[in-house]
Amino acid sequence: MERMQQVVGRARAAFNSGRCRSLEFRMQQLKALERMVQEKEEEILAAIKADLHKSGHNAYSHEILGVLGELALAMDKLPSWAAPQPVKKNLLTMRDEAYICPEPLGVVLIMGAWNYPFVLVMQPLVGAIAAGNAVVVKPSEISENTARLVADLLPQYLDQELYPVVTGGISETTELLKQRFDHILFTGNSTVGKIVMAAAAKHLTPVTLELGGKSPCYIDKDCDLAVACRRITWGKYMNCGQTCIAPDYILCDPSIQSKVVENIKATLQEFYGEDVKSSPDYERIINKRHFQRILSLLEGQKIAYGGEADEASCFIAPTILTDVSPESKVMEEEIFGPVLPILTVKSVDEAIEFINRREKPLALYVFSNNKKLIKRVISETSSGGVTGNDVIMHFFLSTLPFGGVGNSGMGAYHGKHSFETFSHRRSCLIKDLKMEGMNKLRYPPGGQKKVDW
Amino acid sequence: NPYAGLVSHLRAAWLSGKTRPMEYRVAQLEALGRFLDEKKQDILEATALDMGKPSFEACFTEILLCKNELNDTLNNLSHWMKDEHVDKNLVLQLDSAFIRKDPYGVVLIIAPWNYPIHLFLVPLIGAIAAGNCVIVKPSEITKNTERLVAEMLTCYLDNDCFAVVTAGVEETTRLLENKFDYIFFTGSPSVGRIIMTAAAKHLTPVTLELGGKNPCYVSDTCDVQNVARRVVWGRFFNAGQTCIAPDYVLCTVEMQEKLMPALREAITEFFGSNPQESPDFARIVGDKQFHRVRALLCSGRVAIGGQTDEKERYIAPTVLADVLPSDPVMQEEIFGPILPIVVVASMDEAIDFINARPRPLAIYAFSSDSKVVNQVLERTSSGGFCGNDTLMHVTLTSLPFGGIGNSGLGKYHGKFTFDTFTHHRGCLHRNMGLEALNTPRYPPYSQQKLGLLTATFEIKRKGMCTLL
Repeated sequence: MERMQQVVGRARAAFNSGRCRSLEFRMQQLKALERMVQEKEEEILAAIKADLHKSGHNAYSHEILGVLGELALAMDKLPSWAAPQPVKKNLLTMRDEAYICPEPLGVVLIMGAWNYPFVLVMQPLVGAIAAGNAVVVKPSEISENTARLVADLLPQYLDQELYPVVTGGISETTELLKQRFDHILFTGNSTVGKIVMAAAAKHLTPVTLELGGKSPCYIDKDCDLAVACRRITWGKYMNCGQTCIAPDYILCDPSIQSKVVENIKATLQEFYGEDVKSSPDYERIINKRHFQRILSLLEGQKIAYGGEADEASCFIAPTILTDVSPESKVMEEEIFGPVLPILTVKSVDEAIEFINRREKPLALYVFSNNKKLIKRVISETSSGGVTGNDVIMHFFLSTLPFGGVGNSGMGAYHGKHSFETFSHRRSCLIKDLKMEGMNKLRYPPGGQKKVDW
Repeated sequence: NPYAGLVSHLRAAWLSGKTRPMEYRVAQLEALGRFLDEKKQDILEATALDMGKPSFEACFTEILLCKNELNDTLNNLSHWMKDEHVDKNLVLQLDSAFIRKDPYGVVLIIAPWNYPIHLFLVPLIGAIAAGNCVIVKPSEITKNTERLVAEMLTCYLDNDCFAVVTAGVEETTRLLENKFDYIFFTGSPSVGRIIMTAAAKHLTPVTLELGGKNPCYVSDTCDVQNVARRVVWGRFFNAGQTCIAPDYVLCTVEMQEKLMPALREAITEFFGSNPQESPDFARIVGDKQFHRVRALLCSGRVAIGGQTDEKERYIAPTVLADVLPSDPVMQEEIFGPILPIVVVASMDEAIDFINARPRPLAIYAFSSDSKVVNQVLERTSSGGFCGNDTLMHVTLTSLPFGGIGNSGLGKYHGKFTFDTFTHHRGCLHRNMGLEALNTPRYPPYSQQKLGLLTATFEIKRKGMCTLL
C-alpha cells in the first residue's frame, strides 16, 4: 500500500513541478520513447515471443509498427494538437477572446492487457505523454516477460518520477486503484472493467475502458467467399484468436456454411502449412487456465475442422465449429481463442436481430458485394467500430476513434483521439474590463424592456 | 424494480428505430420550442413560487438561453448527424473511412433545483438531437417546477420515447438500478460519486456536472467599479445559487479596502437600499439550505448585508471581510448570497491558494493587465475560465461547459451536448477486390513482406526521406 502511495505521490509531485507542461519536454520524452523502441527492438520481440510464442515478424507488425506510427504522428502534430482553439463568438462576446485550451489532466493510470502486451501500454502512453501528463504504467502481470521488460526499459529512457512502471497481480492492482488518478485507461474484460470504474467513482476519476465482447461476422450469400474467408481467417487466428477485435463467430446462410468451412480450411493450410504446430507463425494460448477454458467450449460441439490440443505447450489448433446453437457455452462468453463457431441464419434481418439481442460488441464485421446491405447492417446495429468486407483493419487507421460501447467499453483512443482522451479542454473567455456599457443590459434592476430585448 | 416497466417500454421504442430519422428528432425539438413559448408564463410562475426567482433571471436562463441552444441545434443538426469522413493512410486509400454518429439508446438526465428547467432541458436537447430515448428526472426540491415538467412536458413530446419521472432520494436509487446507456447528472460531488458507482455496475458512461468553490482573483490594477459590478452580478444572481458563481474573492488588503465601497455601491445600484424589497433578488430554495447558508455568516466580519428573514428564506447580499481559510464559509461551496474576501499578499500567493484546493468548475481573474490574467490562467486548472467577468463563458455555445477533478467529468452545450449523447463509431468500408494488396499481411511471414508492410503502414515524420 505504501509503495503505491509513494509511487503515485512522487508522480504527482513531479507533475505539480510543471516540468512536463512544456512542449519541448514532451517531445523530448516522446523522442526517447522512440529511441527505446528502435534500440531495444530485439529485446521487445524476444519478450513477446516468450509470452505468446509470437514470431518476430508478427510481433513487429502487430506491436512495434503501430507504436512507431503513433510516436511519429504525435511528434509531428503535437504543436497543433496542443494549441488553443479559437471558437465562434456571438454578439455579446464579439470583442472578446474565446478559445478552448487543451491542458493535461494530471496523473493518469494506464492498465495494459496480456494479449498485445507491448502496444496496449505503449499506444496509450504516447497519447498521455503528448497531452502533458504524468503516467503510471501497469502492464498485465500475465504477460510476465513483457511486463518485466517494460519495467526495466522505461526508467532507462524516460523521466523516472513522471512515468513509473508498477508491476504486480491482483492485490497490487487493488492497492493501486485506491490511489487518486485524473484519468484511468483500462484494457481488459468487462468484469474487471466494472471494478475499475467503481474504484474510479470514489475519486470522480474519468475512465476509458477498452473491453471486449463477441464481435459478430456476417457473411452474405452475395460475396466473394474466397476473399472473405481469407480475410476472416487472418483476423480470427492471428495471435491464436486472442485479439479483442477478432471476429468471434460467423453468421451465414445454411447454404454457404460448408463452402465457408472449405475456404477457411484452404486458407489455414496456405498460412500455416500442413502441420500448424510446427509453423513459426502460429502462436500459443497465454496460459493453462485459458487453455482449459477454451477447450471446454468445444464440449458437445460439431468440430468441422481442427480441435487438436496439447496442454504442455498450450497449443490449440485452428478450429471451426458448425451448426452451433445460440444457447451453447461457446456463444456465452468472448472466445478469445482459435475456435470459430458458425451459426446459420436465413436472412440479413435474422442476423441483425440476432446481433441486437446481445450485448454491444467491440467490433462488427459484414461481408457483401452489396454496398446497400453493408450500410443497412451498420445502420441497424451498434458496436464499438466496424469494418466492412474485412476484419481488424479499422484498428489501424488512427484517424478513427478506437473504443467500445455498452458492455464493450467507453471512451476511445488512437492518434489525436488519445491526445484528447488525456486532455482537459478548458473553456476560456477573456473580456475587456472596459466597455461596461454593454453589460448594463444584463444588470438589475430588470425592466420589461430588457426582458423583451 | 418499480421502474423496470417504464425503462423497458422506452427500450422497446428505442429498438423500433423511431428516434433515428432526422425528421423525427426535429419534430420533437420543435415541440420543445413550443413548450418554452407556450408555457413561459407557467415557468416564470413556478420558479417564482419555488425560490423567488426574479422573472428577468428566469427569462434569461430558463427561456432565452434554452432557446439559444435549441436554435443552435436545429440549425446544425443535419451537419452534426452526418458521417464524418476521416483522412486515410496509404493502405486504405481506396476504402471509405468515417465516424458514424450513433445514439446510445435509453439515457437518463438527472437535474438539480437551481436552474430547474435549463439544467434538464439543455441536456435533453442534445439527447434528442443525438437520437436517444430519454428519461428526465427533475429535482424534487423545486416542487412547482417538478409538477409543471411532469404534467406538461409529456404533452409536447412522444410518450413512447420520452418520460418524466418524479422521484426523491430513495426512488432515484431504485431508478438507478436499471441499466441506462448514458447518465447525465448535474448536482453535488458527493451525489456524483453515488451516481458513478451505480453506473459502474452496468458500465454506463456518465457526464457529471458538479461544483466546487470558484475563486475570483482581483489584482491591484483594475477598474474597481467595473470589477465590483461584474462580481456582484455573478455572485448574487439567483441569490448565489449558481454552480459557476464566483464563490470567494482573493485580493490584497489594499484592494479589499478599495473594493468594499464599490461592492456596496453596485449592490445598491442593482437591488436598491433594501434588497428584500427588490423584485430582482431571489430567495433560498428551502429551509434546509437556508439554515446551512445562514450558518456560514459567522465567518470573518460582515462588511455588507448580513440580514436574514427566515420566513421568506431571505439572506441579504452579503460581503464578508477578513475571512480566514479555516473559517466555515471557506470549507464548502457556499451556494448562497455571501461573498467572502480572503486577503493574499500577491498574485503568486493567490495562485498557490487556488492550486492547494480541489479544481473548481470556474476560475475568475480580474486585471487591466492582460499578463496577470494569462498568468492565472496558465498556472491553474479548472473546468472553465473567464477573465474580467463572471459567468459569461457559459453563455457561448461554442465553448464546452464542464468540470475537472471534483468539479466533474464530461462537457456539454452546443455541439458538445450532441457529442456527449453520441457514440462515435469508427467505420471502415473496404473494397472486396484488390486482394493482392493484402498479401504482405498474411502468413507465412517473411522479411520481404515485413518490408512492404512497414513501407505502407508507417507514418513518416514530415521532412524525412525514406529509401524504398
